[in-house]
Amino acid sequence: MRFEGFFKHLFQFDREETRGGYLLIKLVEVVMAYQVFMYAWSWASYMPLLSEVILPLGLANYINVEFMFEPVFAYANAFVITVLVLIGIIGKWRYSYLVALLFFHLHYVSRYSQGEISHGSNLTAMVLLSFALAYAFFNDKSTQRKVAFGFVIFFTGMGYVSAGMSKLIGSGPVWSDGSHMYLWMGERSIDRLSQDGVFQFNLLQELMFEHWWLSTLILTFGLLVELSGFLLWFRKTRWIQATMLISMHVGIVLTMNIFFGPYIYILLIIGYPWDKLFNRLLDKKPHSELNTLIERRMYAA
Amino acid sequence: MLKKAVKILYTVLIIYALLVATHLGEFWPFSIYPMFSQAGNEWSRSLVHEVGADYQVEDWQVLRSDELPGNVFALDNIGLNQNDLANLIQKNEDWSPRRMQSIRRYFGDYLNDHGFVVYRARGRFADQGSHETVIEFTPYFYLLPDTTILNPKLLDE
Repeated sequence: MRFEGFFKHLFQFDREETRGGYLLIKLVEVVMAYQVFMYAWSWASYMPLLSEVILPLGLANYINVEFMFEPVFAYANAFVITVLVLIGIIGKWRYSYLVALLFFHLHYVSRYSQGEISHGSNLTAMVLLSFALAYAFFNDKSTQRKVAFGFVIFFTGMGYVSAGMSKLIGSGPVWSDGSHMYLWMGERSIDRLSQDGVFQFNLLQELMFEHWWLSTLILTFGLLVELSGFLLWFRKTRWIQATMLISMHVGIVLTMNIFFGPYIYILLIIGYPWDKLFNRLLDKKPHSELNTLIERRMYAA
Repeated sequence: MLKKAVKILYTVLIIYALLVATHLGEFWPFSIYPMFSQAGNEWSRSLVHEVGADYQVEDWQVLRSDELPGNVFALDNIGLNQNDLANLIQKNEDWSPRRMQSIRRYFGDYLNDHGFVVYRARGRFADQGSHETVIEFTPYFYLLPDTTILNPKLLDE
């Protein structure tokens, strides 16, 4: 098999699963589920404001999703997604995440049918897809968790590399010319003004307007960090890359007032070896109820 | 086990590539993540200004921010997401009465006693090679309690 070494490293099948490792992947799953619930219900509450599809995305190219603008369908779909994800978490039906993703897709293309193509929820849904595939195609619980984690790591890294490549293809290396940021900061100032009714540039933004080199430096950093997204795939470089990506997201908040919260939270969990910390904490009280519970869940058929 | 996982991964990647290739780079959650990839281009957003319900429509001139009548109306007041209105203003080509009715619906009861001007805001570099940017506002339509007045240029287009 080509790239066998890489895939062995990604999925870690030869490493014995630890209690800390189990807790870590469950934490990813619970955070993903929380994010799905948040999106499902907030989109459901927004959809009744809409009345027609303006830009169809995904399945909306093939079916008319305007029925979803009726509150009863919007909330029913949010309810179905919630129930399916809850069933997935407790492990009662192996295909529940896969079906949940379908309904979640319908939810997304209905909510984002007005012209905006939002990327805020893509990572959450890719994490859902990762768990869905692992649970649907593998029987052994420990294997499911290793596959899910491997997919999450892979798709997260791939997404950032793709974002960086899109910039290079769309604009070339001059993408990071600091003056481009002036246009985006102006654009975002109108967005915030329109949404909130008030807007004021912060100190960093003022400094960037004043110093072209600072603006260029920040854009260059962002582009390089995105292009290095593949470093998430390797254990040794993962925490460094996660830290760089989180820094980039903080930079995006400060310079463009865009908060990619779900991305930051997922990076915070998958980017660092929390499993080692969890193991150390659990080893302090080896006969605790939590230890027993985790072991029972880990080895449950 | 490893072979099976890799096979699934490759299958997903093929489906991913096919879907984004045939849907302009987006088939949620699959995406090529093209946000902010076009640097240096003119941008277009929207801005709503609140004017009196009896506002007299005068002309359709392009204005600077300090020339806009009335006050900024925060979309938070009506729970509308700015991206939705901005994209509608930018991408919509159908200005039929039905579409305008959809837009009026966003504003709900506010339209009983308020008037609004919806602008298309455009940002660009002041001159070629310049770092200076300018933002201009084109009135797209007036939403008054009993009528909607569309910029005639939109109908011509």
